[in-house]
Amino acid sequence: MMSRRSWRRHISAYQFLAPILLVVVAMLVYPLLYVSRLSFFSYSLSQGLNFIGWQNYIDIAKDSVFHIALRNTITYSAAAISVELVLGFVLANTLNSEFFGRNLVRAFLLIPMLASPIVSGIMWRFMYNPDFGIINYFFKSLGLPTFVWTGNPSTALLACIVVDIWQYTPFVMLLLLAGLQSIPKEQYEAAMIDGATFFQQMRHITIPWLKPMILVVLLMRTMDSVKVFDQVYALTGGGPGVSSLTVGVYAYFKGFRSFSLGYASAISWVMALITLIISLLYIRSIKVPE
Amino acid sequence: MKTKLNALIINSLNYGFLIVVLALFLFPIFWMFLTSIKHPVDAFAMPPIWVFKPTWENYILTFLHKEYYRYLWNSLVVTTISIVIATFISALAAYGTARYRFIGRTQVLLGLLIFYTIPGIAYAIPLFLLYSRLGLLDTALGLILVFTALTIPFATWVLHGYFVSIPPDLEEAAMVDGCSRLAALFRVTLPLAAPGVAATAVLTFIATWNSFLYPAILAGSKYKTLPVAVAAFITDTRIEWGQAAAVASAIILPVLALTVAAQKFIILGLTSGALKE
Repeated sequence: MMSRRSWRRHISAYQFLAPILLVVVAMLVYPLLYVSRLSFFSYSLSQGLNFIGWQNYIDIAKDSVFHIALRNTITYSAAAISVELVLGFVLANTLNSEFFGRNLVRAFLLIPMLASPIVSGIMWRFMYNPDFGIINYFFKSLGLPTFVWTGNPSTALLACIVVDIWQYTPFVMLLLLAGLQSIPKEQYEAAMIDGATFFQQMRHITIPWLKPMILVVLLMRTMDSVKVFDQVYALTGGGPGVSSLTVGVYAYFKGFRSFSLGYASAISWVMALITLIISLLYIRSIKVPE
Repeated sequence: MKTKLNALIINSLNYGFLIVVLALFLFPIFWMFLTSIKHPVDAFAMPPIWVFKPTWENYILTFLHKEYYRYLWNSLVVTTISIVIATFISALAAYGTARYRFIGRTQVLLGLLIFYTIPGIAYAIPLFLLYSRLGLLDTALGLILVFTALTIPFATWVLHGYFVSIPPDLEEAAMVDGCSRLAALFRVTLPLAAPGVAATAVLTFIATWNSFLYPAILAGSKYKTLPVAVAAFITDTRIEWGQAAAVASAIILPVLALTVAAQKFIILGLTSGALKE
């Protein structure tokens, strides 16, 4: 039996939580239940909803376009995140030492991350243009070959990855920098006295201390890139053909171009499941602040 | 002497590296802005023109002669109202989770984190069907509802961290002096948490302002927001790059101004969101 006092405490806590629970249940929980129900139906504009059981999920397992989209998404995530981690790490280390103008550099580096992804897609599309794009101009001036970046199946996905790296390296840098700044200075001082080289310090102090933060960055970026939509939609629209189609873009096309809302719901559940697994890993690596 | 020389070399190498990185990361935005103040002919010139007489023609064409002033207004109104409501609701919730131990506390916090990570399309599909049944498609209310709901999980997490870091002694003192708990929250704790609340508000404002998927699906021609309007340029067969650049600049410039003005807050908010070791 709980005492009267403790009941009162629970009740007053939930008074503060009432508005959020109301909004979350109505606008997030209910839609998610609805979309999981929808994933067991076929939907067409003419025939409406028809219950078809697991058929959508069976179709997804056999859908070759979905397989390509999944493979593209994995390539995209793996390539973008690994470059972002390496570049972000180097940048964070550079910015971790005191120097004139450090805060200014850090402030300027924030800008790409805060730009609307749809705008970055369009912006880069303009720069990638084979006829009047500035990128081909720079390549030509440097004596490099030029490409039809977004219009060629072999470079379209790469073009999307470059934009992702441009947009999110600053974010990775910022988090790693925060991690670096939490490493006690005495660690390095002791290492210096012992005559440790730069690489020994990296290996035995920086990397081990930074490990939890690297994990957090890795999980956050993976969650985001699994569902990437805006940039790819604006940049290539998944094309040419399906060469840069990601799962997020495919779900959107299925849902709002061909209006197969049941099938799109099933795809979005597969995506949600992937991010759910990653977020459970993420939750294990963080603690609720007390 | 030798170490001094070494330090000098390392320093200049660092500066050189940073200058190259900054140039690469800032160039796309700089180039877009440049395109937006060029005459249409100059925008497509090859080799590119670096020195030219700037013109506001693209801005005038889109924001005065076309409908874009309305989209700008929509974006501004919908984003501002959503963020005000979401910040208020999240602050209440975060205060509750930070100050009370109650059944379901951890579950509420972790649940919010999970809602935050679920792909947008999983909400957008059912909301589209629900909205069309409720007549909420292409209304300001519909957009405000969805933006508020999506902002809340992240905002609550960040604010929870701030409230935890503020000692409860002061508000307890206020309550002894006869303040109600709610009054203590608004008069004592909230002013102390102001930097955190500002950081959260700025970050969520930017995310909502930039959002594309939800307004693209849930709004039509009447409540179109700027990101949806700029995306419409790419489906045109002949893209008016100058005008597209003008609209895109209008999306980025407010964010840029906010970033410069609230740089400290933004860094605080971004890192505290992830940094709960």
